[in-house]
Amino acid sequence: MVFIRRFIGWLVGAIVVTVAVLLLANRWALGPASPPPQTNPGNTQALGELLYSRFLFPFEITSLVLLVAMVGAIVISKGRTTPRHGEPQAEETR
Amino acid sequence: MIPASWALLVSGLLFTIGVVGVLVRRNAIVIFMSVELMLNAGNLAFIAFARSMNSLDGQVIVFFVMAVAAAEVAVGLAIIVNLFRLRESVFVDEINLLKG
Repeated sequence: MVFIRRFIGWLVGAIVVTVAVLLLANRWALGPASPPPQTNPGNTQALGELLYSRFLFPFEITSLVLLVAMVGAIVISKGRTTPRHGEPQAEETR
Repeated sequence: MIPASWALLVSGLLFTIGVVGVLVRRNAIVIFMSVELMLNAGNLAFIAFARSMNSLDGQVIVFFVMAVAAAEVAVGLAIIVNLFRLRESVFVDEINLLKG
């Protein structure tokens, strides 16, 4: 079980590194480096275009960070799954 | 238009309040709120500079800072919940597990 979990971790890490290398080879962007100015775009529209063009990789990493934080918060607040040293067997939480 | 120095002044004020809160208060949750205050002071400085330089990059950075702050709060509150379960207290001067 531990090996499978560790393998999944390495797999996800390898995917992230691969995407990072691919994007860095493209100068951090899949689209144009600086989007051409539209006809009076609003601030929100300009911000969204910037997020999806130049800051695409940090945007995706942000989603990953939020996911990891969510899982981490659940894991931390779930409590310990093995009984503490010298204590009677705790109830099964897994 | 509000000059950028005013926004920077408010930002510095917020950051000072956050630093004083972290150093003075002993409640872990209040310390967390003060850390958030400091992060938002940094956000305000980013916005002020982005506005004065006519650039959008600062606002994008603020977006990322807010996302990281959300992640930090989630993990930190989980740690505080665990700490309260363990020690029945959220006051940081009663958490002296590392003191020999």
